[in-house]
Amino acid sequence: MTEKNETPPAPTPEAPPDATAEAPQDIAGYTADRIRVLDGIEAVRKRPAMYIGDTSTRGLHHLIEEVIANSVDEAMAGHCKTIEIVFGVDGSCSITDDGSGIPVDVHEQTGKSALEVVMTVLHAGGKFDHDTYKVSGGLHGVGVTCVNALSEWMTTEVRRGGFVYFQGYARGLPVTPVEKRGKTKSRGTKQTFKPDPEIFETTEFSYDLIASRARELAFLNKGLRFTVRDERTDKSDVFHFEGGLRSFVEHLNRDKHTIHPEVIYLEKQEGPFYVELALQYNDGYSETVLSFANNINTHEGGTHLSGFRAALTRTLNQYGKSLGVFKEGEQLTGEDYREGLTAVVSLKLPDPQFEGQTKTKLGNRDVQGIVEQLTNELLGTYCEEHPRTAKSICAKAGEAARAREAARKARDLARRKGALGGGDLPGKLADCSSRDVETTELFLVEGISAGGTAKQGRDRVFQAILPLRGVVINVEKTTLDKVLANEEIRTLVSALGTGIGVEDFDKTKIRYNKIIIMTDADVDGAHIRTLLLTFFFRQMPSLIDEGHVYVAQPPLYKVKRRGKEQYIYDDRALQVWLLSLGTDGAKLEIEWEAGKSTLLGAADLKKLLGLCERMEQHAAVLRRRGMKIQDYLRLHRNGEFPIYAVRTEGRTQFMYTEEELRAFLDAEAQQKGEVEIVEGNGGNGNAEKPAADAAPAEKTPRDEDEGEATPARAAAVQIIELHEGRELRKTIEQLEALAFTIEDFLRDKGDRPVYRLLTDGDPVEVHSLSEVLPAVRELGRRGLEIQRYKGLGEMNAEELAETTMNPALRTLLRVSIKEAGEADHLFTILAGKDVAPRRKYIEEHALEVRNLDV
Amino acid sequence: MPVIACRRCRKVLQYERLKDLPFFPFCSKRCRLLDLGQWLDEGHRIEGDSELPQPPPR
Repeated sequence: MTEKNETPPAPTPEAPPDATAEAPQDIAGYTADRIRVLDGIEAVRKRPAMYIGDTSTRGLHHLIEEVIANSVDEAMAGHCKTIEIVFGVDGSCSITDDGSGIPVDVHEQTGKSALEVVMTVLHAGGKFDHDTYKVSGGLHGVGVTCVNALSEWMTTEVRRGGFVYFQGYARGLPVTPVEKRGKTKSRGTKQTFKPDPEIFETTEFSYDLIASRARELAFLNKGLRFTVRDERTDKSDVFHFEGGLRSFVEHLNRDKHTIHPEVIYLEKQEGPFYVELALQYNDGYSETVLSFANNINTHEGGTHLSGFRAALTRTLNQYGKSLGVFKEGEQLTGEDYREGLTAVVSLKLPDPQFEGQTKTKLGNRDVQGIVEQLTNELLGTYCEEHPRTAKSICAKAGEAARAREAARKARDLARRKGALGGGDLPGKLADCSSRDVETTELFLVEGISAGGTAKQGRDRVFQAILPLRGVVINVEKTTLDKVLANEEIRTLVSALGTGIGVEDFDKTKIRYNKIIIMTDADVDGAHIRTLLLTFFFRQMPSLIDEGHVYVAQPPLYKVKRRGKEQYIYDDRALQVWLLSLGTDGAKLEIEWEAGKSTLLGAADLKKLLGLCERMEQHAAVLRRRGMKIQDYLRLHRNGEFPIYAVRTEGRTQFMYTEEELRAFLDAEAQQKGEVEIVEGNGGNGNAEKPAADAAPAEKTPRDEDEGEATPARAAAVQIIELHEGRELRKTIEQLEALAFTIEDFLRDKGDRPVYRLLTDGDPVEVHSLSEVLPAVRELGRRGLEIQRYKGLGEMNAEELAETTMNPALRTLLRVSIKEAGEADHLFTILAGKDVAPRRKYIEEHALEVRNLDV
Repeated sequence: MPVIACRRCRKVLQYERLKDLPFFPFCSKRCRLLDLGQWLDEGHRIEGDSELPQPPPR
């Protein structure tokens, strides 16, 4: 406390430095001892770099590290709990510990105080004697003497045996004797020094540099408290971690997502060796592993780190295999276990050997085996006791291995493909002769036979054909699975010329301007198209984004009428066409009752049929929600239709307005405490059947609400939106304008009214309004020959060319990223373990709407 | 701004243009490579729902 006011002693070396610098060692008249001291100090001052590395910022801070190292050694020996580092306003630095204090008793060999010897004689420390310090991180005993030699001035205060001792130095030489300065109850050593500007390029200490080293040391020595204070700026920090290395790893992973919550912490003393490890994986790909030997950061690694790595790979590999985490034939390497690894390895050992360029590589040979064996043992036990953690680590490593393997395969594939126009193209490809990438087209054709037809029908100058087989037998389940077989993908990639993967994909090497997917108009065809689009979307999205990917539109029907052929491309177009043929010159007579009838002319009939079509569409939508249109029509209340079906406890109720729904939910909540809205909108092919069996009409929600009291529990309510209601109402209103009513749709075949279609042929009679439309279509069909194409193979080459391939006649659909993304979505559902009905619906829907509008 | 979930790990990604996401529609090289690995291993399948016809009993 008093030394703060002390004036540093003036540098008064007892002999001019140059007088002794070149002095021979054994000149009589000098005490050998004195020469040794001068020699030592002079040597350090002449060649400081030999002792502290250099005289730049790095060397300057090395001085502080040397002094701290002595205090940490005290801590490792169990004598010291706190270390305080203070930067003075005058440019000095003081390091205070509460260790045992440097001995002050008289040194036998020299007759001097041990303190003076330690501070002024090189290699005089206690570090070579393992009994004093079992392990030590100091620079082989030269440490504090060097600091002294390279300081403009230095003072040492020792509290030991109840007294305070003091000595002052200048440039390494004592300027005061060791003084006894009164009593104390505490103990420890305080070293204060100001670096010599004659030696250092800069003498400005960096707070941050020393603070981060202090933090590191606090991590490495659990429980040891560091206080760092800067009197120049009033900055200060305290570092103290009871968790030790565990806290260190937490600190290193502080901004990362870790894949297991707890840091793995392992430690063991084995003879003179103390191994301490902490590790935790994060979801990143890089590795952060720090290793220390006796608190020195071994930046270049060394034997302790090799031992740790070998054991980590071996133990985790063994564990993962025993658990079956890895796929068959999967070979994991050390690299796979290093991804996302954050670890600190700290070894305390006697006589560390430092090698390497910066002397930060541990060289002790015996250490590797010891660390490896200890890590195997400790980590093995840890895995047994923490299977969940071990499993997630192994799973992550497995993923790393799989990604590595995929990258390797992609590289192989990219190499295999020939250069532009090279002779290395797959045999299955019927290439085009033009090499003008702006105009060439590649057809991906489902099936070998269709591929053959396409080859005959193509223009071989610019159209290339690649047949693909998309079905394989699933041996396990004896089913036929749709898949892009490995060989198919290889062939496709070779034909495209782009390569595949991340580094190995180069879209500028593409060999065709248009890639055209041409599949059958059946479920298999839809599946293969979905697979191809998903593949392009995921692995070559830029091809889609730049508009290279297309879907061919082969016709769905061939229609023959009066010897003339016509192709029709979808169901909707066929319906429209049949309708126009059926109403050609037709009139509709409606005989309401005997003697009372109306005649609808062509214009009104057309209007009526349009509305009937709308009714059909409403019916289709309702069918998807599990409801018959007749049942729904019966629910009408003063011309309104329900807009929600609400299902709870197996009962279905219908709501006609938003207010009604809200009132119902409020009532439920009041009665049962809480209302849980369960998933299922009824749309999107949801297989729930809310209303199919519900008896409609007479039951209104209010009737049902008065039901028996149910035990109070959260009510699970499913709300199915029936937006159709509003649209349906409009349609009905228009029908009413034509003098029809809902009843006309509900009536089954009765005697009256009779709907009579009058044409040039025999009149056609039906007994319900809903049958008029089919009857008209049937009329349209007369004299027609309709052929439905199930597959491309049913067309001959000429037909395929003129309907689907010839640029002058065909329609192509350019695939956008959005559409491809929807194909991916569909694929995810189809490949997932989704319930069969949902899947079935989607398959049908995908077929129905052939423009990918899923 | 369009949003997409990584096709493998479901991490949500935002982008203005496709080029903003170097691994679109994945969050990372890792996820894209793992997906590619699955294609090459024929892991991406649409399972057939009906069993293969059994050979008629003799």
